[in-house]
Amino acid sequence: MTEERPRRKSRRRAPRRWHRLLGAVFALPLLWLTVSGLLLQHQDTLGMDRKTVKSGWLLKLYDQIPDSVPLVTPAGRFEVAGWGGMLFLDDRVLEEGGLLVGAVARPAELVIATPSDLFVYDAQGNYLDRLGEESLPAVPIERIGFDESNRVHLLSSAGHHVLGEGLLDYEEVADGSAVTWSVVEEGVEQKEELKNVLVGTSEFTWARVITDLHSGSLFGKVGRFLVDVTGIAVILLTLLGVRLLAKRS
Amino acid sequence: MWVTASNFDEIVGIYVPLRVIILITLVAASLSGKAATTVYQKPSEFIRSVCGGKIPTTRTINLTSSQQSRIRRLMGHEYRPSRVRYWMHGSRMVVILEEIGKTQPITTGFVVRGGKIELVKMLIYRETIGAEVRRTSFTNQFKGASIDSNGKLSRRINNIAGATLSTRAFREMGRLAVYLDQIRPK
Repeated sequence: MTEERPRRKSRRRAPRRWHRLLGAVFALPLLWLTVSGLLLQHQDTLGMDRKTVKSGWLLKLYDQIPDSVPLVTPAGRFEVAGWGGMLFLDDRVLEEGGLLVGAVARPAELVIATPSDLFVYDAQGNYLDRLGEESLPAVPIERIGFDESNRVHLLSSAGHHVLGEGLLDYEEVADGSAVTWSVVEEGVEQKEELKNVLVGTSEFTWARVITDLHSGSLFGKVGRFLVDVTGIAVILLTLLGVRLLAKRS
Repeated sequence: MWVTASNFDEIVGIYVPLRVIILITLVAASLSGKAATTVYQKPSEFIRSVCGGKIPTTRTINLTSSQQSRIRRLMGHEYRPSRVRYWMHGSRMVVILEEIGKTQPITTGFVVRGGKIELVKMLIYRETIGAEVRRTSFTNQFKGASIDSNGKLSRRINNIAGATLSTRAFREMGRLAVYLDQIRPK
């Protein structure tokens, strides 16, 4: 009987101990959720849906700035770059994307090749046209080049083809014709410049960052898991609190 | 059952497995993967299927600034390419169009004859949700549709719940396809 007493006492105090422990452990995550929730609630007033993120490391966290080395190639008066699936024309991010295979400049057009598409721009760099797999001899495209008549040549698994004048058709070319192939090189020097372009043109708003901070997505799977656990902790704290209240009354 | 000090442990005993289930569900939801691009039919295969087994000569429409502004009114936003490729099979015009659903472009094949849509087929879908728009019960609504003077489709296109943005993208592409048939060189 006397041995039972301390054990009973300990069992009676267990909910209080758990309540205290959970409260201490989850105080910080709860504070994080509350503050980010308040910020979200007033994002319009605070202008967070208009203010864009200009922080390089934060954009890197969102994979907006790739880790790899960009690929660059000159094409007439343009410099074309490909970095992390994005395409750049001089200091402009293009809406079109893909891995850069090469680029060639014709008298009034610029043609950028990715494995699956050719993108055509005018002399000012305005978007004109896209040649998808339905307009190409085969995909993936391996190389792009031009000849002395400024005709566009393509190398793919289907062989060597030359595109017609308006890029509307193509025909097979016998080997040995003189073609200047576009050469893509690693642009270590251009990396910083392109990074600045991405930071300058970032459309990432602070509202997005705070939303992801609130949901934990900013820190990936670990962050989301932590928010899930915090949610469960709140449920447990409530239940334990009700139990303690019931016991006291 | 009311929660009291005496029955709390019993209730918690029931809650424990439930808590584990909730935790596992939440973790699974957190770890769930992202949507991938689904190619239902290659554009080249679509063209072949509606053009008697081969791809006809490619033709283009070079959009003038007035045509661009008309398209802007039809679609409600800027249309980026200023050159549109199309293929003719008899009097049928085949065109492959792309329009953003929510964040990703939806690639769709249209067949237009005499200013009316004859066939619509979703070819490539890249969004997470809303792929229901590829169902023939939805795309068949476009059959026979033309555009009136206000630029609206002559047929009522019913929304699909949960795919509102994809539905809107289809309506915009439908209007554009009919307009392109009107302005193509005859």
